[in-house]
Amino acid sequence: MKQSLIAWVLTHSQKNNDAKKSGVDVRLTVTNLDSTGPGTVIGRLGDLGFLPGEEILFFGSAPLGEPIYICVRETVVALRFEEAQLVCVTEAGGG
Amino acid sequence: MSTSLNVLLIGSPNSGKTTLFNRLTGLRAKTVNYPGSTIDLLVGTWGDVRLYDTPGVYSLYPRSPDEAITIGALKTKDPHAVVVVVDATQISRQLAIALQVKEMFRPETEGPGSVVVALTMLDLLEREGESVDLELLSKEIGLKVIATNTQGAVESLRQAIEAEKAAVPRTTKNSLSSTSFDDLREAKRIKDLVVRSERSKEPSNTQEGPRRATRRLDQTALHPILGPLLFFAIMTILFTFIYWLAQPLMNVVDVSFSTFGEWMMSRSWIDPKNLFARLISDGLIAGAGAVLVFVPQIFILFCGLVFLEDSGYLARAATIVDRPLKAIGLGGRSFVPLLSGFACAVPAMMAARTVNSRRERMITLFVLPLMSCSARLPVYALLLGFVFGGQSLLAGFALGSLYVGSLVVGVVAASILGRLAEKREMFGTEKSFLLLELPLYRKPSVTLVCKHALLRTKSYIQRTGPVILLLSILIWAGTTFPNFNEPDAALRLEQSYAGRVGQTLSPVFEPMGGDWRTGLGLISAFAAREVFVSTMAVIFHVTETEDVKSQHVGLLQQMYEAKAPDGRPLFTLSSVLGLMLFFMIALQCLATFAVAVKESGSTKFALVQLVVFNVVAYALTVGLVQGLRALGVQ
Repeated sequence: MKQSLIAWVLTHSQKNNDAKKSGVDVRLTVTNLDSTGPGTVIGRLGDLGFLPGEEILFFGSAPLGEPIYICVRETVVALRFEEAQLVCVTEAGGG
Repeated sequence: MSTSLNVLLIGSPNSGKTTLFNRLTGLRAKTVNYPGSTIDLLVGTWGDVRLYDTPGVYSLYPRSPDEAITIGALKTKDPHAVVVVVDATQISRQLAIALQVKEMFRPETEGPGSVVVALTMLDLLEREGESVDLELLSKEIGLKVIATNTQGAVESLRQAIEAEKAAVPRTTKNSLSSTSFDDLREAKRIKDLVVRSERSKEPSNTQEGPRRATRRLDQTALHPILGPLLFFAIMTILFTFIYWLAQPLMNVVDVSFSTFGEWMMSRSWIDPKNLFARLISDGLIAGAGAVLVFVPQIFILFCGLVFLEDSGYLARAATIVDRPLKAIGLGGRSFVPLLSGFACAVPAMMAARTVNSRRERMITLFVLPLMSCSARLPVYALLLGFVFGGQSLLAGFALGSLYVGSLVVGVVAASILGRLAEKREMFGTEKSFLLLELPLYRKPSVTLVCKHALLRTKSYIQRTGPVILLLSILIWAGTTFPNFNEPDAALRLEQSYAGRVGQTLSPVFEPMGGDWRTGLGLISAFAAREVFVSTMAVIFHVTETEDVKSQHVGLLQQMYEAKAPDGRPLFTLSSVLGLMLFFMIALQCLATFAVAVKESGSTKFALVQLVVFNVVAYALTVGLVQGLRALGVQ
């Protein structure tokens, strides 16, 4: 099911915790970027590799829950909730 | 040697661009345009090549002011060649920049290419069990590719650039036909072709790859509980270094300049009454001392920042504090400037250029002078000495409270300005973003850290030195004329122009618990805050030949005995606490004001900042002093 990255993180916190404990990476696929978002942010998301079809990994969250850490193109990037809201994802291999 | 080739180094942040620049130029460089942490346009010479190191970019579509500097340099520096630095572990992203530079910066007619790719971090890639087919990469991208970790890499790079001497003229296009997304897709296609996994050979299972090591270290650095603890531990160590390690060195600088001034004036061929000799001794030498006394602290701060930056931790620290800072209208990117502000607001304001949102940048610039800079330390030391005498533990606790207090005031100021900016749509409506890349952890080279910190320190001196020196001379003139022949220093000061201003403004200083003498000290502190201490020493007849420590003790004694015109003690607990509060909030540093004008791009902004901080400091001080007195605390 397609949803924003932040919606996915918030609704899958238990699953993420379990995956973290078992050392398994949670894989997601970027479907698209929300083009209604600010152009500069969309541009930078793209510069960093958040492009349709790109596989990303959820690594966790900062101490207060935000930002979240996502691995994209072998780089870990910290995103605030507003930024993660602009990235639409599905779980890799279905979801 | 005359330089004949202009060459730009362009690349992503953390691509190893500056390391390559240092290697090629031997750090014989100076900053141009904007000095600061990662925002400099550095120029160095490499033989007959003028080499420019540009701020890191993610694409040739600028999304922050420091990125705009890089694209601006491509258009205005008339480069003969561009070296695009690409981290071998990040080819799928960073190669996109090479593709964009190739398109934007092309020969007017068909001819040799003018863009060279320098591939760095190949050793890290090898430790991951991967390698790059350099020949295939060069063929796919259509550019010469040089691996920087090989023997003769510098010579190869040199030859590639030399070839540009004979190349046809180039033009820089104003825009690109492709989007950065197209280039990223192409970069990934090329990466999949040229990067080969050699994991089947499994050369050394004993050696952990850098990505895995980074992931393991991040489990602590970004842990919900351990992460913040580590952050506070690292910051404590940094501040301990900034203050305790620098203190003996600062004393050496301080004593050297005062000794040199005294030595000069004691020469038989110099008439101590000669005005020119006094200008040199009390104006120029003392002014130079005022600039250089903070150099050890600034250097240690820069060493710490460069070390943390090169190691990869600084980006992580910025993400840890992003959430709390966001609540007050700032963000993780404001963290480095705010941290630098504890040493000196001037380089800190310059570092604020890395903050991508204008609103966030302006709020950062606004609250920066509230961070307790090192120039306040000598003043706090004197005033705390007055309150606590020899009780150093209590004085230390009070000093810590002053730092916490400055942070609290900064938080309040940022929150108020953030809300005002939101409500009235000040500083643009553009939303800030974090989107911070966390680089792989690396072991910083101590030599490079020191060299880079030295370069930044040099840049700081070049930028602030002339302003502080000029202000010191002006303050010297104001406190010396018109009765420059008066042998009694205190009388000369009292009758000076500055003294008269102090006396005229005496009714303003009285509600603060002071008189014209404290007022004169506060006026002189506009040259540099710590000048307050030396002005007090002159006013209260503390002889200049005593060493620093005994001068301090002597001054405290004079302060205990000083009487106001009505016969009451001039310095009391309430008036000294008031002075501390005033120094904590007031923006007295004119060098900071000058930099605020430049960095905010608005004289009005800097003037408002100057007026607001000084008026608020004054009002709170008067409130505190009068409130304490009403409660019976003299």
